[in-house]
Amino acid sequence: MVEKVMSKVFSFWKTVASLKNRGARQRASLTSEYPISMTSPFVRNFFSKPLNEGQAPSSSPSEKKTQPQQTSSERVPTWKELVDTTATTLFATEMIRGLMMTLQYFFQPAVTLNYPSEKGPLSPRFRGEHALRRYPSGEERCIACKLCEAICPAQAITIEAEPRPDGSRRTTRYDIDMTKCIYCGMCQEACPVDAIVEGPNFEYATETHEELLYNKEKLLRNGDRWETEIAKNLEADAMYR
Amino acid sequence: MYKAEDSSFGYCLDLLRRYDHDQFLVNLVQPSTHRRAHAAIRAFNIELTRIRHVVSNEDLGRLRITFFREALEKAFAATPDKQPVLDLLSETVTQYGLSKKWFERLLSARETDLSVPNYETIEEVEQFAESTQSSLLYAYLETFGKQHLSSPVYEAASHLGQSLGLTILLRGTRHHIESRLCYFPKEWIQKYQVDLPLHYRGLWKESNSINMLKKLSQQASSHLTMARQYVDDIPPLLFPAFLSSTIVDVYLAKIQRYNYQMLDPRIEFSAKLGLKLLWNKWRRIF
Repeated sequence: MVEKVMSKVFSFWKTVASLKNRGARQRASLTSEYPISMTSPFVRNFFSKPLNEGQAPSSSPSEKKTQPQQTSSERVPTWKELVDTTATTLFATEMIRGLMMTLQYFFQPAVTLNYPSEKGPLSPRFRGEHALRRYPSGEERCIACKLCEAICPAQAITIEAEPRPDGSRRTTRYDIDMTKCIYCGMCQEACPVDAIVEGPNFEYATETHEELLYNKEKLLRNGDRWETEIAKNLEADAMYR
Repeated sequence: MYKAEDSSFGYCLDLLRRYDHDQFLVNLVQPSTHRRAHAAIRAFNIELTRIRHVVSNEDLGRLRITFFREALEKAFAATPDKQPVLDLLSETVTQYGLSKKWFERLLSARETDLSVPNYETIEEVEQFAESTQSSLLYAYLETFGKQHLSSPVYEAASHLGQSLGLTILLRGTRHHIESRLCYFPKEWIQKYQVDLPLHYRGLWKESNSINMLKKLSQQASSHLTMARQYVDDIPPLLFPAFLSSTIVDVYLAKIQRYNYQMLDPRIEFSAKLGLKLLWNKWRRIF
């Protein structure tokens, strides 16, 4: 038992000593050990360190005690070995493995979307392009209470209203500056008659700034166009209080 | 007298059908002269109740409540905003001369309900049920003529409204726990030693809340029994207004049958409700 421990300690000290003058011995052995006659500075620098230097000499003493052999390994591969190893790992296995992976995905269904014709799922609460809704009777919902204008943190909404001949109050102007809007959805939440909503449309890029200054006609047109989707998204559960 | 537009009644009925199907069925068995009034009052309730689902914070909800409070003033002045529900409500209140206090009470109850429910005692929960469901009943009863309304009628309506409100809360437990809401009073939670985190996960047995659920359903049915004690003092003319009691009967029986497993979707729908309402209407009982 004692002998075993002693021999381990001895071998450890030997390792440490060999590590200390590793550089000197390697420089000395270069010409004798390597079958290569090239002595250009690049080659000498390249081979002056063992290939496994990165992992071998561990700094913690406990590891050195357990695996002293690894640290003392100074064997440097020959050119032939180097080429063989590289060829085996690179060409024989890794390329084939990579191609197998490619083949595997070739037979699997595609995970990508063919975007303009296919679209990803949207949350019913998605806040996209604005729209002004109408009642089923065709009458516009907005009664010009101006709550959306008041609540809008970006002050993107401008409303002007006056009573109609039949006495009902309606907007004469309902503008949203889509370049000011921050899409917070406050207007939708504040609207007591569910007139202004942020619909599911997110494809309304334009070439000019002016086209993003929406007026009432544009918003009502949006509402007519997206009413089915908007109504479906607004559908909630029954009431439980 | 103010006359609502033709499309308003259809819109209110559609709202009822989508959001409050029980009351839609009740609406179908009302006398044809009163269906418009019933639809208007119930649709107004839907507008107020939906606020909580729609807004993301309390202040926005208050904003909407304030709008409806002002709109109510205008509806009573027969100059409503051009919104179908308010339009029809304005016609109803001006035609039958309803009192404004019931609607104001409903509004303030709904405004309080915008925040997280925090009831200490069962009386507070009953108070909430009364100021919502009973207020609606009182308002609807007034459409049959104020001369028929006596104190037993009001007593019966109060108890019926409470039992209806409690039943709605009980049925809604499944939906309340989705947003971590608890409409049960704190005294019951202490009394039955309910483990709230488990309750929110829908483990009724493990969290001891099954006793609490049972107790709430008992409370609802006892209120219904109390309401039925006044049956002799109520003029038969008013019976259709009390047909909501069938909703309580049907759903409490259903919840009991499925052993208070509130996550079971079957307790939320009853195919027989419509037929039972019709049967009770023919038999002239409530």
